[in-house]
Amino acid sequence: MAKQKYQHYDRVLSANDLRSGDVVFWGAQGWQKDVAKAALLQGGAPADALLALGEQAETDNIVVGSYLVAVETHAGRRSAVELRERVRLSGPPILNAVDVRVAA
Amino acid sequence: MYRYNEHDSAFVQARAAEFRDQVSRRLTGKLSEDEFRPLRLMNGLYLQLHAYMLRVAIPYGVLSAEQLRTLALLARRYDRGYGHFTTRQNIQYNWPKLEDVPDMLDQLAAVGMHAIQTSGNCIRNVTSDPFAGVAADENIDPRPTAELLRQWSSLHPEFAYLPRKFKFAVTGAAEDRAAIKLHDIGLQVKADPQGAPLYNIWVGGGQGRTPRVAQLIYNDVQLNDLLPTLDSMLRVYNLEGRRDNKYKARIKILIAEKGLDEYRAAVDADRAAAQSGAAAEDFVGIEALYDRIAAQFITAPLPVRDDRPLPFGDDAFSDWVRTNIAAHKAAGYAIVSISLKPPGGVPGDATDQQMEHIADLAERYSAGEVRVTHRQNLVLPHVAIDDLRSLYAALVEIGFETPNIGQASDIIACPGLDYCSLATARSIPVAQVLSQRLRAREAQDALGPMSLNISGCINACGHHHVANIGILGLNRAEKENYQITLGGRSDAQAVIGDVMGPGFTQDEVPAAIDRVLDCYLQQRKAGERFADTYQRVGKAVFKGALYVES
Ligand code: SF4
Repeated sequence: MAKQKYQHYDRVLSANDLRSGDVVFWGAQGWQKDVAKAALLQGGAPADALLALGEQAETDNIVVGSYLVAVETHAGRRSAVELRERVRLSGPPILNAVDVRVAA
Repeated sequence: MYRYNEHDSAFVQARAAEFRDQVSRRLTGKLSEDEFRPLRLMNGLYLQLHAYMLRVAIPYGVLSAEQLRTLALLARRYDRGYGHFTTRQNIQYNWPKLEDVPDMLDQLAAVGMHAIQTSGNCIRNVTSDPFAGVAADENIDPRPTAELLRQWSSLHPEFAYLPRKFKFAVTGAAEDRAAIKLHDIGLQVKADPQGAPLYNIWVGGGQGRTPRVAQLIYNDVQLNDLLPTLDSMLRVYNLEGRRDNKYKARIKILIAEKGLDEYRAAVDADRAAAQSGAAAEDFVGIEALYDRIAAQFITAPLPVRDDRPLPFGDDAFSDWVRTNIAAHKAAGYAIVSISLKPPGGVPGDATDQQMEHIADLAERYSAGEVRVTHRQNLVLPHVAIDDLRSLYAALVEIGFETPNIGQASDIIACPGLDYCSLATARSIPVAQVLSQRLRAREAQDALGPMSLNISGCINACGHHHVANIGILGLNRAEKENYQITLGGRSDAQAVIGDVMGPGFTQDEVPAAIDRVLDCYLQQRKAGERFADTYQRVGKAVFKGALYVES
């Protein structure tokens, strides 16, 4: 979760979808799963409006646990600054191993 | 096996129906997340890093083939085709959708299962020896006691909001395969000359950020005194355990702060007060209840077989017999451990198809019964020695023939940062790399029995503190860093491992473990296991070897 010390990074608003539990991000197309399509809050910009939007989505029972995630963009790809969020963004790499095993 | 009576069945069905209503109210906005969270947690439903996670209780790790088939079905229908067996002998589903959970609970209820008390500050699923009732070294079957505890602790109104979660483990064997000294309360059951149970009660063990080995508080407690004693032990903890700081709320901290003698005095005073009050009647008839429960664990007698030696040779099957077979009480039978730790695999994971195959094998070879171990493996408890070869061939087909039970590559690993929202680092990728490397070394170097456990944070669900080689994943400046502990053990000589020194990056871990193993091989004397060598040689030698190249 983007702590105080990450405020100078660009940030995106994330949460879990209430029904599916999926990791979702807020963007022009609403809440969706692709971090690349998430609305970007520029580093250092005030976050109140975006956070309020997340809280409203929680009140409206669309998502659970909204918060800001600090991200960096390298070669056009967004990745999270914090370790926990990096794993959350990429999904468990482990699924690939399971898929291989199921196929075998 | 213990079978639910009509009250048990009606209760879990009613509870599933109640949760269906709660989910429906959540989805329609009649319940807020703040209102719903405690309700879902009471039904084992967490929100983890990527998705919801449902933890299903497997009381003392005992499953029927039918129940395992249902677990497989849930994995296929509502998850991504697999489930994860945990160090609490439970199973976790990592990807259920909230709207599907009521259906999952209905299907569990239909086979006498549920997810109640798999979360929250209550008495959690009671764990036990996975070889209970069949082990050749057993004094008395611990399952009737575990079931008695399950019935006593399920929805116990007084103990629904303890200062913190509370874990019991029970063993009745000479070898402690249930890690009872690492539990809030551990029970060691013995048989008196008439065959009735007698209990040694250990209290204040646990892992997490302040690992402690439990202390013996009562010796030779008789059956009719067991529940009143436990009731008083819990009551004193409930009243005096700290609620101001969750890191100091476990009973191990109360005992450390108060001292065992003072705690015992408080428990004795509570018992005396209870005996003279209205509660005196609460536990009348326990012996008859115990007998009724015990009668259910007398499985239909296994067909009588001639005693015969285990088939040892020099092929792969014989390697498996050497490591994965344990001695059964009955002549001509063996206990088979099925390793869920193939090299490079995810410790404790099984796909829906693998679970179904094992359910079939349990019916064919093991009187329809399966056990889950706290080391995240499965057990077929009643296999005829004559059937071992055909069972092995069937396990080869599903990739579960790895001959590594109790070996270094039989790694315990918690879900870690791949799934867990509390994690500080990943456990699974470390286990995957190490298990491949260690399998090769096991064959080449005859490493012998040892334990290597990995936790993804200081909560220590992966039991790293009590592993011969423990690995704790930490977050150092947003990079994974792995701290190594050595010399721990979880058996009857339970001891907390020594923390070595600075941690290692994920890439450095395999070479660091190699250096520890090289040191062990150089130092060990004939007949020693890793734990023996470490105890004899001491921390400094191993620490010197661990950091020699860093
Ligand atoms: S040890 Fe930590 S990371 Fe692992 S399962 Fe427990 S809480 Fe999660």
